Order: sequence, then structure tokens, then C-alpha cells
Amino acid sequence: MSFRLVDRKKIDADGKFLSCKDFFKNIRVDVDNSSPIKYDMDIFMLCLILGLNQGKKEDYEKYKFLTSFSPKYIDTYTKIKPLITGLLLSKIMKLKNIDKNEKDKVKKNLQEVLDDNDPINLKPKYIDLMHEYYLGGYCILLKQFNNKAPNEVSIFFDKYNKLVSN
Amino acid sequence: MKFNLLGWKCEGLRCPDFNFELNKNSNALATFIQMPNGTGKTTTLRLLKRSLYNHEFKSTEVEMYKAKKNEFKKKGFFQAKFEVEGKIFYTKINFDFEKQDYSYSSSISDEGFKNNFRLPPEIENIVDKELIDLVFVDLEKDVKPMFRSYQTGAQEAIRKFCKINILKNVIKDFENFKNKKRKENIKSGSTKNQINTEETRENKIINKIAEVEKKVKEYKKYLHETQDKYDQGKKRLKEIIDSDTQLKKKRKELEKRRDETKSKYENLLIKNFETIKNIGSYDSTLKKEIVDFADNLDYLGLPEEEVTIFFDKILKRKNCICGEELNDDKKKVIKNEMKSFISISEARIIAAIKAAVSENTKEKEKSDLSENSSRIQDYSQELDALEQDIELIKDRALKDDIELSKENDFLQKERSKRKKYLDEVITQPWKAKDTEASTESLISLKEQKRIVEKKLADLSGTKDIEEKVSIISEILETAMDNAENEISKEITKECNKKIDKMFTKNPVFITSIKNYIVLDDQEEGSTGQEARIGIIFLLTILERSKIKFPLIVDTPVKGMDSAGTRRTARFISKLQSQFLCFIIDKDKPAFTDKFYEITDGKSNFITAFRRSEEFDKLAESESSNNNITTSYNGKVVDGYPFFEKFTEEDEGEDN
Repeated sequence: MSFRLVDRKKIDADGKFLSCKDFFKNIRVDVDNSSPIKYDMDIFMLCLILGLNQGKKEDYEKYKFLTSFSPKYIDTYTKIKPLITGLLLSKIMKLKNIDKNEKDKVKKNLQEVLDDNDPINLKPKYIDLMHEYYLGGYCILLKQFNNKAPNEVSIFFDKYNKLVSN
Repeated sequence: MKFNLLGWKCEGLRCPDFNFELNKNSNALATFIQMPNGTGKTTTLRLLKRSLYNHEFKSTEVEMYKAKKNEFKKKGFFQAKFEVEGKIFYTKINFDFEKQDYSYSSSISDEGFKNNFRLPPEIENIVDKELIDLVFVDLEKDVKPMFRSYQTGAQEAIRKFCKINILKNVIKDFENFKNKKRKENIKSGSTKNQINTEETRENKIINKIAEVEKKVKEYKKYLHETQDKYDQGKKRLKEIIDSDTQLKKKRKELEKRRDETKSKYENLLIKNFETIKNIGSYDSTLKKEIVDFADNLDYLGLPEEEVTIFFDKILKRKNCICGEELNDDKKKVIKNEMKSFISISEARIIAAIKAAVSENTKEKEKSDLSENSSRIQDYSQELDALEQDIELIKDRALKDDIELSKENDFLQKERSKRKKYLDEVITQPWKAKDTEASTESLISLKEQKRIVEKKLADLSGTKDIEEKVSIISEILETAMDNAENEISKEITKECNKKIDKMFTKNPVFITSIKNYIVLDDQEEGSTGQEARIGIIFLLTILERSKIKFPLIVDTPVKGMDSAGTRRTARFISKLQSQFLCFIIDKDKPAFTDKFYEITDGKSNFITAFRRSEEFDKLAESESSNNNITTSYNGKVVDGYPFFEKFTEEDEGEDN
């Protein structure tokens, strides 16, 4: 399993859905040399953190993804890998209505979700779930920017910071 | 094997009737031909090229070579004389201006002229149009583009000379074969309709590819043609801005402040992004959630890897801790019990989560995204204001040169637009939603074409052939890429060896040759550097053949300053191959006189002109020192004294 960016919506009724790469293209470092956004992983994480923050996810099946850009967390993200895993575990417990005081159920959930053999540490089903939160975050950004690619990195982070610190 | 141009003769053409003999001075290091504007330099060069491959002249082209009214003749010819391995051969292009027709004749042995185009067997399989385009070069038109990032001149030169393009033709042949087979397998009914639909789509894609390729060519041409004007304008504007010392000082101060603010702005953006990633280091719902999750793990006493280790150890014992023997049934009970505990590896993941949360939520690490936001905005606004102030200062300095400034701004915009198109638009990756109407990406269009072809192969039942052709094409394309890369590396190495030997001062080396020639640590070389490296590059390519070709160059020092011109003269004096160049009288200072000085006159200095009373008198006065060939309307004077003295009477249009 691996990380992928969304390309399009399978049924895009109003035709407004923008490919994730296109949305970020003007604020990546190769276009705006002040931008800290360099890798596809940066884009993925910005969306994922926002999706997790707002608890918003989108149905994975309704979207078409580009081919994988990485099978694992790139070096600069290994530090935050446990935080993302922890947040996903927390979300999953809520989704499954697991009482956090019931140790056996919590442990069972950990066994069901975690996979030490996978570089992302998650079983395939939950990597899909991670992509659903990534999609959720991306859809929030699309809405915030009226389905148009932002042109200025300062404006992007101004809006983004407000969204995640609320 | 040596291949030399020995001379040429022309009659009844647009240029005067000339007879050039280049081998009179057998020790000549180089040949300089001085022809005033309007004497037929371009015509001569073009016909010299056409003398070496079987060119198909259209009637309009034949018309181009026709002499002007009072000199009109029904027939004319251009005859070139060459030498390969000491054997002389001739090719002749005969023009019939009444019938607007032409024919070739050639003489490759003692049997005399025969009515067809032929080359001696030694070179007939080597010399073709593509190679000749490399041998006859205009430094301005052909060499400069080899150094521009948006051009592909160097790559094309390698492809042409090393015949890599032959593989392209093979791929094309396979494609044609595939299409032919598909057409032979025409179906009926609804399948036929589907095939028609897909074929229409395929044609649309092919047309779009041709349209984009045409646009690419036009854009490259525009970028090349405007390069000098833009560079000169930019240089001039900088000089004007720098000439006002007070404004210059003020601008420098503002630029310094701008650079400092930009650096602060960029650092803050980086810091802010790092903060966002460090969930827990700033107040947010995520922080609360991850802290609660970690606390709950603590509360539940997780991870508890020591428990599974404990069970593991027991399972390895002969007896249980109560002293009873551990039989299979008892081991099964222990294993089942063990399942309810998390494994060591799972425990490690959980421990890492807890450690990361603890690290990120330390009080000292706390960050404030809102504060970051407002500081980012402040810096961004300050940067905009400083940029505006710098622009205002520039406008003030340029108030008297507003036209030049506007023109350069316009050029900059137009050039950026085209560069962006070449760099980004045509290289966009293919996306599933792309159609031929929605994209101008050549990558996407080619992929769309491939998909349609696959559909057509399915529909017509030629899938097997389609797959085979696709595999072969892929292999050939990879072979082409690999060959090109290897050859480029070898040529780079060879060129650098020559540069090291031939550049006396500050040699500029080649870093790589991919689409264009990349020079060490600099975006572009000076006109002189580029010309000299360009000549080295071409000679290195030409040397890869077993035949030593001549290099025939038009405008060798155009646009160079006198130092560059002198260095080029010194450089040419060291070349080993036959070198012939066409110049006009204003190219002489610091070039041919320098060359004459360096080489003690060991070269051909030829002047050719349309006869006039003034020029005839001049030639007459120098006749004792020069060798003269005269026709009714032209003269060719061989010798340095006349070459040096000759000056054009006025500026005319070069034809």
C-alpha cells in the first residue's frame, strides 16, 4: 500500500473538482520559490492533517487517484508518522464506538489496525481510511478556495492556519 | 579519409558568374571569402549544400535562382568541385529558367559528366541532407540555439550526425505496418461504426499533435529571434538605472531590505509548516485528541509488551510456574490467552505514539499558528511594498527611456509566456479526463493516441500485432535514448579536452549536453565563447566519422566584441579540418587581419564582387599581387592585399 494524490471525482456533476496537483501547482516551490511546499507528501499531509482536524472524510470509492508517489513516509515525515497513526487509531475507535475504558476492545482494535510489516504501520483497509481523511481535508480546501487553485502561498497558509487552529 | 571542397563555378544565376578555386594555395590553413552584401552569399551557400544531396527543387525555388532582368539567361548552372581521398569529383545543378525546371549531372570518374546525381562510393552512404546541415553552418542561426535551454539544437545535431533518427524511421515503418494491418481487417456493422468513431478521434489527436508541434517550433524561433534584442535592452536598462548614483544607492538599500524581509518571510513559512506537521505543538482539536488518546493508553497500562514476553518465556519451559508439566493442551490455553495481549511490534508502534505526543506537547515547544499567520501577512505586505518602491525608483530612472522599458517588459512577458508553454504546458502528464481538445500536452496527446490505437486494435482484431509493435517501438525508443545519452557523454568529454587545449584564457567547459549545451557555472556564454564552443562541438561530432569533413561557416564573428573576434581568429588557426568562412568587410578588423598575422598569411583570402567601375579599378591597381578571375559581371580576386583593401560601397540587402 502507498500514498496517492487524488486526480478526479468519478462523478463530477458540476465539473468543478480540481486535481490535487493542479490545486497546489502555483504554491509549490518550483513556481513560488518562497514556498515551503516541495513534495507530494507535503500536499498529502496538509490535506490529511486538515481532514483529521475537522473529522471530515470522503468516500474513497468515489474518487480516482493518481499513481502512488511513495510507498512509505518520506524521511522528513518519519517524526510525525506516530502522531498520524495515533490520530487514526483514535478516529477508528470513535467510528467503531469503542469505549475507551474497555481495555480488551481497545487492544483488539490496535491488533486489527496496526501492521508492523507495512512501512506505513497500517493494514490496507486503514490506509484507505487515511486516504479518506486526506480527501476530506482536500475537499475543505477546495471549498475554502472556491474550487480555484490558490496563487499566493501567504494567503494559503493564512486560511489553512485558521482552519487547523480552530 | 579526407573530404574537401575545392571550388565552385556558377553561371546565369542570380549571383554574378563566379569561378572559385580554393586549392591554389595547398598549405592554406583556412579560407576566408569576402563577399559584399547582395553578391549572392546566401545563394552560394544554399547551392553548395544542394550540391551534396539530391535536392528536389520546386518551380518557385528554381525561380529564386534566376538572374535579374538585364542579366537574365534562359539557362544557368552551379558546379561544385570536391575531393575525397585525393580523387576529384564534380556535381552540377543545371537550371532551365524558361521551363522552371532543373536537373543534376555529376562526374565521379574520368568518364566525364553523366546526367544524374551521384557521389563517390566512399561517401555515398554517409553524406545526406542532415549531415550537410551540420557541415554548412550559420553561427547565428544554427549554433546559438545549441546553448539555449528552451532549444534542442545540440540534441538534434547529435541525432542527425549519429543517424539516431534512422531508428525513428524504423518505428514509423512499424507504425505504418500496424495501421495497414488494421485497415485490412475492416469489420462490418456496429463494430465498423465504432472503428469509424475511434479513427475520427485518432485523426483529431494526430492533427492536434501536429498543431502543437508547429506552435513549439514557432515559439522556439521567437525565443531565438528575440534573445539578443531582449538581452541588449536589459543591459541598456541596467546601465541607465545604474547611471544615477543617488537613485542607485537608494535602490541598493531597498533591495537589501527586500532581501532581508524575503529571507525572514521564507524562514517563517518553513517554520509555520513545520509547526503544522508537529501536531500537539499548537492548540487545536487535534492536540486535544492525540493527548487524550495517549493518556488513555497510559490509563489502560498500554503498551504491555512485557506480558507477551512473559508468556513467550513460559511457553519455552518444560514445566509451568506452578510446577506442573506444560503439555500441548496447557500450551494451547496459554497461546489463546496471549492473543488478547498486543504483540511486541504493536507495542513498539504504540510506544512511539506516546513518545511523539509527549515530545510535541512539551510546554517549551508550544507554537501559535494565529501569530504565525499575522506575521506571514505582515512580511508578505512589506515585501510587496518594497518591490513597489524598487519599481518606482526604476520608473524614475527610466523616465526618459520609457519606450525601451516598455518594449523590454513586453518582450519579457511574451518570452516568459512561451518559455512556460515549452517548459510546462507541453510536458504535463497524461490525465484520464484529458481529451485532445482540453490539453496541449504532447505527453498526454501521445498517450491518448496510444489508447485510441489500442481500442482500434481490439475492435479490428489486430491486438496481437499492436502489442508486438508496441514492444518493438518501446525497445527502439529506449535504445535511442541510451545511445543519445552515451554519445552525449563521450562528446562532452572530447569537447572539454579540445577546450582545454584551444582556449588560452579562462576556458569555459561543458557540463553536459542533453537538449542543449550546458556550460559550467553559467547560464549562457558570450557570443564569442558560444561560437568557439559551437565550432568545437560540431567538429567533435564530425570527427566521429571516418571521413574528415570540412566546416563551412557563415557569419563566424557576428555580434562579437573585438576581443572575442581576436580569440576566434586564434582559435580557428589551431583547427585541423578544412575551414571555410564567408564574411563581409566589417568582419575583418581584429579577425582576418589577426589571422593573417598569426599564420603568416598561410591561408586563402578571396574577395568576390559584382563588377562596377570602382571595384574594377581597385582590382586593377592591385593586380600584380593578386590572382583575378573575371566574368562579364563578376570578379574573384585571390590574395590578401586586395582582400584587406576592399571595402563595400554601401549597405545593401543580402539575398
